[in-house]
Amino acid sequence: MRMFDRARLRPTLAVAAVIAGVVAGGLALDGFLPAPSAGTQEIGAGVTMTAASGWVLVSKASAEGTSSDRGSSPGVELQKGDATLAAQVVGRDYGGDSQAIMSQVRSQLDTQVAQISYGDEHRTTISGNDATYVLFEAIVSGSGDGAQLGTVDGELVCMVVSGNAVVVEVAAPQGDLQFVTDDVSAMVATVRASR
Amino acid sequence: MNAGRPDGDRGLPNEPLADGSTAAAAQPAALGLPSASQEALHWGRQASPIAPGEPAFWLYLVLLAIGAYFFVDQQSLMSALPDAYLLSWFLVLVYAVPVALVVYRLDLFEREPKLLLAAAVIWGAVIATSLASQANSAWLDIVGKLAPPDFAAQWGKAIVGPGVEETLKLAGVAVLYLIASEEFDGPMDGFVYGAMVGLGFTVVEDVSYFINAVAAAPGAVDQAGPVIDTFIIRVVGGGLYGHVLFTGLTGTGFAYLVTRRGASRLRRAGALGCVAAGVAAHVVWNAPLMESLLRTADGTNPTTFQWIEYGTVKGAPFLLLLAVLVVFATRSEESVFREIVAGETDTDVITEPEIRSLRSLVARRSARNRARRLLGPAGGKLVGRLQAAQVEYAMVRSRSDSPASPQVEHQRQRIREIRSRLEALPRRP
Repeated sequence: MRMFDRARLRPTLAVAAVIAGVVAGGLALDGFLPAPSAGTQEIGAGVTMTAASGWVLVSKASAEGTSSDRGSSPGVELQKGDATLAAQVVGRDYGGDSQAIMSQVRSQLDTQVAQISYGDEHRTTISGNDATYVLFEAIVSGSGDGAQLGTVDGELVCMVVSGNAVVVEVAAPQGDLQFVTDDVSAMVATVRASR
Repeated sequence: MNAGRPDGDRGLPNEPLADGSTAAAAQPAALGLPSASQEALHWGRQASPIAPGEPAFWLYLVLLAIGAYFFVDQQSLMSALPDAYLLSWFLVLVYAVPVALVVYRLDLFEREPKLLLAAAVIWGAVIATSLASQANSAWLDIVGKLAPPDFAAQWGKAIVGPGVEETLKLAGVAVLYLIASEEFDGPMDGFVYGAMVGLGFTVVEDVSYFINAVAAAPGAVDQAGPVIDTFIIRVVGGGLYGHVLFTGLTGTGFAYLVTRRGASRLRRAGALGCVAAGVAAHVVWNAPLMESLLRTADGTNPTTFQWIEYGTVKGAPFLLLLAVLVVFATRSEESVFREIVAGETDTDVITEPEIRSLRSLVARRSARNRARRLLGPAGGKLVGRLQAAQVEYAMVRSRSDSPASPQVEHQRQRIREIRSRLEALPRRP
């Protein structure tokens, strides 16, 4: 067996340093830099949601046109990369369950997009709140002149939080939803009534 | 007598070429390359990646252990969708095996050791993909933190993907060079190892894209549909322009830099340009450019033709560049081959027309086809064996101290035997 080649040690260490710089350096720098975050936002009727790291506030969304339900409130719209999340209280003193909210929201959404297909609905409990969620794929048009049609992947989460009907809608360009699903789960779990 | 020589005339190894030069005189200098002698010294040695004497071997092992941990974790997660998982691996192998064979066979004169090629594929498939999956998300986060959201959304992947992935893949080529530098004789070797690293990377990345498409599809009842749709986009539309191309380019540039240390500054700058071109090809591929080619009137998914058109517009210029580089690298290797066989006086071993017929896959195939026409299927097969034996002869000759060594003589004998069997075949009327 050949003796350990000390002459090759330096170039090998140089390559190792480059790899470490790219991987460990990236992880360390990412951890060091503070992530912009919208923090905790009221989405209406005293219901709050805490934005995950990297999600920034785009706007306080208008309730107009998003719900015909009595008592709807302005919500918030967050963005991370090319994914957006809109959260809103669509009804106060709500007596129904999360599946009923989902049914209403889906019927509205069906009229707002060119084409939409849903996956299976799942009913569960999130942080003690009744919740129903579903994945969808929709063909939507952009805004402004010359807007183009495009396909988006999305997720709808409907919850009943202390008697408030809450809707969280996530959308991302086709294939990109997977990159934010963990964030969405984490944010949905923070939805609670603060008063 | 010439029945077994489909090339007809039996030229001497140094007989004049059409342009008046001689076979051995067609030196790489004409191409701006250094003397072939240095390369010839290394030909014929088959290095192993198992080299405990090399520090890079231990670096490879450590990174393989880290990469394997993440790789196994990822694969077991993806196998939760068994139908999609098996279909994905089947489809990527249908693509990868022919590509591997083409890359391997493009290295016409000095085929690389299979174990070292396997190490290259494993680097790309296990080490580079695993490390990249960690680093990509970290760097994308960093871009998201530092750049405006819209810019990060549009250009993040075009900046981070090439930066992280090309660095990690090229590091694999560098590690292989440090383990077995005697296998790196010229740019062609960098192309082969780079392409193999890229192939390993693309196979694993494609499988993860296929499975993610299934997981993201609403309902996810049909596991095959999203896999096939993504296969059409990534492999049918862009298979020629992916990681094999990117790392083929960077590897070619790297190998030129490390094997042609005496080259002029301009040529070394050109080699750096190759590395930059590999990265640029990846940037262009990931960038949100020419998206209009994918638009449809009704907003539905683009057609297969649109994907092919989109891939071609973005990737074909770089593929063309790589093709040109491979042609030049092959000519360089041909010169080395000529130098090695130049002293052979026995014209039963190799002739000038036969050398010419070895210079490309097309030329080799056409020589075999000629033999098949003249002598039947057995003739075609024997010419194939003759070509392989002649290439092997150069390898044996280059690693032998003397042209009269028993190993060289043994190889000559093998060639003579094949030739006599060829000559014994009856000509077709």
